[in-house]
Amino acid sequence: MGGTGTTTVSGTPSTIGGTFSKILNRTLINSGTLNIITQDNSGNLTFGTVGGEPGRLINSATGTVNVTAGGDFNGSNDPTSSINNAGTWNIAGPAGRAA
Amino acid sequence: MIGSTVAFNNSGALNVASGTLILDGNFRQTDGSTQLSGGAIFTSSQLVFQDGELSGVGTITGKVVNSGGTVLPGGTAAGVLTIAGDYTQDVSGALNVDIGGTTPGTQHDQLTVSGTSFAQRHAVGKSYQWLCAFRV
Repeated sequence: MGGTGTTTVSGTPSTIGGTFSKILNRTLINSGTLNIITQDNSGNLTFGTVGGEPGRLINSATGTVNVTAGGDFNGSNDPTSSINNAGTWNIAGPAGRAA
Repeated sequence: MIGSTVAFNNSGALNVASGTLILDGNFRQTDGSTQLSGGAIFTSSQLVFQDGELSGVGTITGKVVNSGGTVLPGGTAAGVLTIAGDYTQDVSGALNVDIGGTTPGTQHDQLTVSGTSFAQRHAVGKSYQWLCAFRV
């Protein structure tokens, strides 16, 4: 997902999953419930693969993000990528696993 | 895991219920809360609490800077919060411990620091081992 502007999801719930790699080079705003079910080292979400195009995941005050299997949010070429949580961010990974 | 070029900025509620949150990038909290309730946090950078709360029971591995937040070991009940690393508390930061007896973890809160602990303000009596550190 790239380009200028923002993408807003507000579904109940939205889901990020699957084993294919995913790229975030723009701003993604969650204002509903977002379940991130990707596992470590499998289907990771990579931020800012192009310099000058940061990835930003914003969880708004009304949003809830549930990371249940590791997540694996990787950085790349743009050092200003970020996760901004103003809502609720729950981590419930398997014991002993990165979450 | 959150990679080294991805900053995590928290002003909401971050709840680590199980597993380990691995942060290779910067973590900054400007409001809200971070709670350990069965999970752990590992950072190869540092956690900076400018405001809000850090609470719960469990282990944070890495450097913690409390520049203006409130650290509450145990949260609503007595408990032990462990920092396997350095802990710095600036003058605007606070460490709040509940005291109801002499047993750490069940009767009173405890912050255990295995690295260097530096606190600019102390406000608790000396009869209880509320801060356990190898080097202060």
